[in-house]
Amino acid sequence: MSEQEFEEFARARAPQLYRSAWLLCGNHHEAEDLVQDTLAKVFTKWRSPFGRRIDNPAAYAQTALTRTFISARRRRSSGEIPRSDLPDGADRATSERTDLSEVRLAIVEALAGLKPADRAVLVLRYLEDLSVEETAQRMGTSSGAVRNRSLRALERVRPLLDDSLVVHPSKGTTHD
Amino acid sequence: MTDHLEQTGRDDGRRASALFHGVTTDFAPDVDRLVQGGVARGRTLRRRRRVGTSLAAAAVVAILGAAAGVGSQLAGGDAGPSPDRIADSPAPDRSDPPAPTEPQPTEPQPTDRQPIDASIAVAAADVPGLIGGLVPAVSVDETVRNRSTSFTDLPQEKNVEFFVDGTLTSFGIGRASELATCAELVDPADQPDGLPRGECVVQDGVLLLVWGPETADGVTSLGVWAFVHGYVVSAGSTNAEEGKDVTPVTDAPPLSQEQLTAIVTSDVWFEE
Repeated sequence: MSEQEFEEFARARAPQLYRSAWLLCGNHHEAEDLVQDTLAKVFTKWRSPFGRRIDNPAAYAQTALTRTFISARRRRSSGEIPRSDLPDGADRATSERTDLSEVRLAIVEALAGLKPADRAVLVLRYLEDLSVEETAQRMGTSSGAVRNRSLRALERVRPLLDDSLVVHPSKGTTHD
Repeated sequence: MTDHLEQTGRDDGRRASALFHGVTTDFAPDVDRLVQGGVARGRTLRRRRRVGTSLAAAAVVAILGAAAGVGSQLAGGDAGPSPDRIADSPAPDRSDPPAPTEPQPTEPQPTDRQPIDASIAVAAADVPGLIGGLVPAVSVDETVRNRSTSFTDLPQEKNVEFFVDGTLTSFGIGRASELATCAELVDPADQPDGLPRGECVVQDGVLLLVWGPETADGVTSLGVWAFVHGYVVSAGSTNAEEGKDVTPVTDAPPLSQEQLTAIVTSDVWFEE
């Protein structure tokens, strides 16, 4: 597969990778950094020959992104401490915050309180819409571990999951 | 109770999905910057990995030096630097121009970066038949495998899959400048399992990358690449109908290293 094919793939896939990265990292700069690191890893494998072509580049990239994120967080684990409770601001999301950017901030704050692996499970399950088994495969863990992490993480972000909260990206967020 | 918990989990999941999609769907990242940054970092990553495997690369230098002798050059290339540049030079970018006459002090060009000095003379569909003529000892099915992912017939790129003695066989020609160097291709750091993958040797004045036989995902395969005329000609043989996860149809791939070498170094592929 040529470099041109890689660039075509990267262009098509970068926006979705960025969405995942933003939810994982919580800010634009780190998300860009993570996506570029991910694409770099795909790039090096893209030109590995001998029948070892990447069967599913999109899945490979998603796996690389998830594992790169978790590895990076492990390396700097002292800088990030999972919280036992959601930050105060998160609760306000469903009751007061109506602007899209504020909902985003609430999500970032909520996700920042989760362990990196729990965060990754949420992103893979509910942004990438992967099954438990697919998520386990991406993360290199068991389906049981994914289920446990998913339940735990959902419990932690439940205050944000108000059914009445409807997100209209072009108009901001409103309550029904 | 369990049903209630499961229902709650499903509801939460549905809401989480709606929320995550809702807050990210209108993101418009700078795709150009992401892609260019990814490519640049990928190139750097390759170079950095090569430093870590310099000892392995040095071994390649020794083999090449012994095989080719001082001052020998690759097939047909009168502008390429000597083989000892293959491993001690940094990995070039795929977009690097053809090797300059005067090697640059900071990034000397390796021997597998020759300018193109010939045209591909065959159509992809004709490849199986031509290979049947080059290795008459085997039975070549001249029907090209009809899969878009494995068939390319462009002026400077050919890729074909077909069957030899009922086993999947691959052949390709592509511009060398589009691929990694020979030293990079065998670099353990660039392999999924971190193990060495083949070796670079010079045979009859042609730089070859030979690999296998090796077994992965239940299928044994081997192959040879030749760096000639600014192109890479590759041929691979397996012992099964697919590249992986199938039951082999023969004990070993039907084409030997010698036969594959004869195929990739044949003059039949080019016209000058």
